[in-house]
Amino acid sequence: VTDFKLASTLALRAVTEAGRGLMEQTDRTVIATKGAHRDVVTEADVEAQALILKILRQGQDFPIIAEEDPGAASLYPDDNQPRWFVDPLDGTVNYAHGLSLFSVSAGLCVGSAFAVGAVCLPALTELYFTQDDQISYLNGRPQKVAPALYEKSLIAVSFSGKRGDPEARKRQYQVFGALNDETRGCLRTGSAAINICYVSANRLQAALGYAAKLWDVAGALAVARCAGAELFVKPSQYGEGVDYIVGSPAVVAAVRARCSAKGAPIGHE
Amino acid sequence: LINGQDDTKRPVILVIGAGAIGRGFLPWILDLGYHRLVFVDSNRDIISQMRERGSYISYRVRNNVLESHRVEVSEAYLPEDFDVSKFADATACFICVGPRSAAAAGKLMRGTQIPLVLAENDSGCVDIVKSVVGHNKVTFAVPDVITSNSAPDDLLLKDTLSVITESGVLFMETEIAGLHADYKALSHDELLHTQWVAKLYIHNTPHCIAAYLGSLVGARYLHQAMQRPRLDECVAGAMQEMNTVLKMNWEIPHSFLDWYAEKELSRFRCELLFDPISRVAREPLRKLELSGRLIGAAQICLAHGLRPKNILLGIVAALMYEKREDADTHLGFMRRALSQRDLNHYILGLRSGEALDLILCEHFDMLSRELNSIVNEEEAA
Repeated sequence: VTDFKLASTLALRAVTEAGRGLMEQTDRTVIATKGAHRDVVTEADVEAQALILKILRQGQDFPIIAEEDPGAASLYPDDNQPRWFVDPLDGTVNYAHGLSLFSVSAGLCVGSAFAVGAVCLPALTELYFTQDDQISYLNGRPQKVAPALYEKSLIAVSFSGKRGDPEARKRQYQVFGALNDETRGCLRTGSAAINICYVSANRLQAALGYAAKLWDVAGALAVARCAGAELFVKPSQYGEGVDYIVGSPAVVAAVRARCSAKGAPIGHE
Repeated sequence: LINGQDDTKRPVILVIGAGAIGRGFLPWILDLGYHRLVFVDSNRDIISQMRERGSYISYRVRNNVLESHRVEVSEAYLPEDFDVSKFADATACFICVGPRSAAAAGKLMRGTQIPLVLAENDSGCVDIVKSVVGHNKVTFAVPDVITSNSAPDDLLLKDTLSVITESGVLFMETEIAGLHADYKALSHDELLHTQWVAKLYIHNTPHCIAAYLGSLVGARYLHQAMQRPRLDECVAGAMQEMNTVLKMNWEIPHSFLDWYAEKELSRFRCELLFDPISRVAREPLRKLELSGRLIGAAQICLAHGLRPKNILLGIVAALMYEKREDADTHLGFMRRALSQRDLNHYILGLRSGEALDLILCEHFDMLSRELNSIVNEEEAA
């Protein structure tokens, strides 16, 4: 039996302690790239991941899939086993450039369900988390996603760090343009986890992502789910991981329609 | 017919929030021979009893004597059943809900020009409610009173809606046309800089500290906490800390502050009020807000070079408050999951390295040990 109380306690502790480590790190130099200019690693990523893993291993013995050492685990599991997905630093480019939009996240999935999550934005002093697999909080205050209209929405999108098929990428950028023109705007913050957390806090009304790795978004998706957001998550047809739209239900439906209309649908249609 | 008059023809006073202030205190200061009361509350039990019985008994402690008064309820609604257009010519609406529910209460009054009186504890709610209702006729009020939202068992046996209030005063910023009530209108400055400051720091701060300490010894009512000498000493100490710093910081007559502090201590000790600990201690996170009655109070003291030992004990006791039925019951979960430093930073909003952050990081264990020794001493006694 999965102990969600213990899991949420450990997730919270892990992301805050790792977040503190990131803030204390004075050397933010990129030490490696992973096949794309945008897909970079710093020393802080590696240290934060080691700390998170150490804390999560104090709990039940679940597999841990972490960005800097993912192993051979499936990125879209179809069994019902609990798994941790850990991103020690989402928004590494922002971090390396001295911007505040970066996060640490840990999420526990049971099969394809996003159960427990914690996401820490240390430079902005924000902590998003679930209690057990039930309630979503921002800095200890409960959050609930409010109904919204597409035209009055602010949306964020995230693209895979790897370019993949140029034609598919072009269609995804067309979606980005359409959303930007038809709503109050479409952002690209550089952190998929932050986009999704901002949905749970009603700052954004939807977040769209193509070919996201589950470690990028698992924690944040659990937070958003517990805040009452609609989650539309499918195995990606553009690369590894998932495509997703998260947000207020009417806005999710409208964004999904734009994705299909521009030839960049979420999941296989 | 009530008092020989057609009830429906009397000017309406709407009361949103049928708790301590709304149900207990207001009926004693409103002229109920002239007005009729219409209540709105989300508690189904209270509303259905009001509808079924059409009245309830409110008690008032005056000069150490308990007086009673049967309050007639003209109509009572749940928020989802309430249609404000039926009461468009109401004289006033008193909003007597906590700060977290003020905006939701304001939404019920949208589309009318009925003057609103915010009688619950946070001046910041005035602007929030103004933006929700879309007009400016929103007045801040300070009820200088302690009202229990309950009563001792023998009175509840006679009437389950019974509440006990003190004989208090309602201070309001604006006079309301057509309102027949016993209230005191004050200038904005006098209301906010004298009554509100005194209420927030000399009443609210020690009041909630008494409740959190009382909770640790298992007391049910506030006066039972104050009957414990070490707890009484700690509460009086917190009041003294606030009194000292207010004298340094505000231009409020010292004699007024001394009188206010003495008056509050006797209120807390009053054995007739039966003020439940669960009411005063509820929502500890709200009481631990950065500018609020605990953290804010401690910050003011520290800024003036005073280390507020008793208020610090109150903060630690508030952090330990954990009741399953409380809205902030997750505070215990967060306290266990987070280091003190991260709790200070993310949950309490303290800046890393500021005085209160350092004190709580370095001395939390010592303060909890001191708290435990007070509790153990009282339990042994």
